[in-house]
Amino acid sequence: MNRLIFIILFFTLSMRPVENERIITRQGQVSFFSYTSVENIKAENNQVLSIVDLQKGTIAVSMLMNSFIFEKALMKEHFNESYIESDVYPKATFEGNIVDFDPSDKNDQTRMIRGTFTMHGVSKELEIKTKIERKGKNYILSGTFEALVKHYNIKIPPLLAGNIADSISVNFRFEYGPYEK
Amino acid sequence: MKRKIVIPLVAILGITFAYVFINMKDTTQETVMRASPSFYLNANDLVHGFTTENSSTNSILAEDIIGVMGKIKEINTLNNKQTIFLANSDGGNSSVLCDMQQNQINQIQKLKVGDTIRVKGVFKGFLKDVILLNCVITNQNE
Repeated sequence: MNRLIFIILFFTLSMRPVENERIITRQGQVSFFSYTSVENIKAENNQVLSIVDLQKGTIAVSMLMNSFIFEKALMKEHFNESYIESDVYPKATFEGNIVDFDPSDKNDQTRMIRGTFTMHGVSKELEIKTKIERKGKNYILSGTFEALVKHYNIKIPPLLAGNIADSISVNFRFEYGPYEK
Repeated sequence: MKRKIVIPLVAILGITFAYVFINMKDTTQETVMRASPSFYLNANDLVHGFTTENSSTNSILAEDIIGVMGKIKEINTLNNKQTIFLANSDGGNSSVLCDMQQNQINQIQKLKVGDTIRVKGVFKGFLKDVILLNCVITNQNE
């Protein structure tokens, strides 16, 4: 009898829809750094959209390239008009999976995220080591990866080649809350 | 003799001008403060234009300075930025995200969720929300 009750309870609970299967941030932060002996360039975007499906372990990210803030107006102009061509390619996106992600684990986890990053019309497979922190119903995903300029068909004029690093360091920090219906 | 003075003078002026131009700070904030918006819309119409692919927002281009009136849905300081979300009362969870200028802190502190405000800012595009950067609060007559 006890076993029957246990089986019924088990199936009832396992079939119960999980609350807030999806989490969202509309104010994710992505920043990039280019270090050269000529100059250092830093830019930050604080309006990155990302949605994670906790049960499927999938993640989607979308950002507007013209929302990056630079210290100098000329850097922003070169970035948008000459390198990234943000009027032609306004968004960068990432779609991937969090490998071995356990949404029930209340401790911090470090997981690999594998997926496709698309920028400037070029898609590349990436694997990014990501720290996952859980604070109640909220999650924070953060990490760093390197993007090679030549992989994304970005043409730097020879005169400015010394100002832009071959490899750009990209940092991200996404603070998610429950998805609003 | 004159040439000996003029050529170095022109060269120095040229180098100084180039240095100032290359290192000039982003002046977008001051521009928004002074500018008259290209469009004035309420938050509902603006969001509706993007969520339904309505043609009413087709003429808004990225980098246009636009004015928006709407009811405050949320105020937060995530990423050490002052952000105000203007609600879209037509349903759906898309809204207008206004990234406020740092000099707006005193005015923002007087606001609360549910207040109706008018802002102007630089239109960047639409993801899940309409995104405006460098926003300032304006009065009804502006």
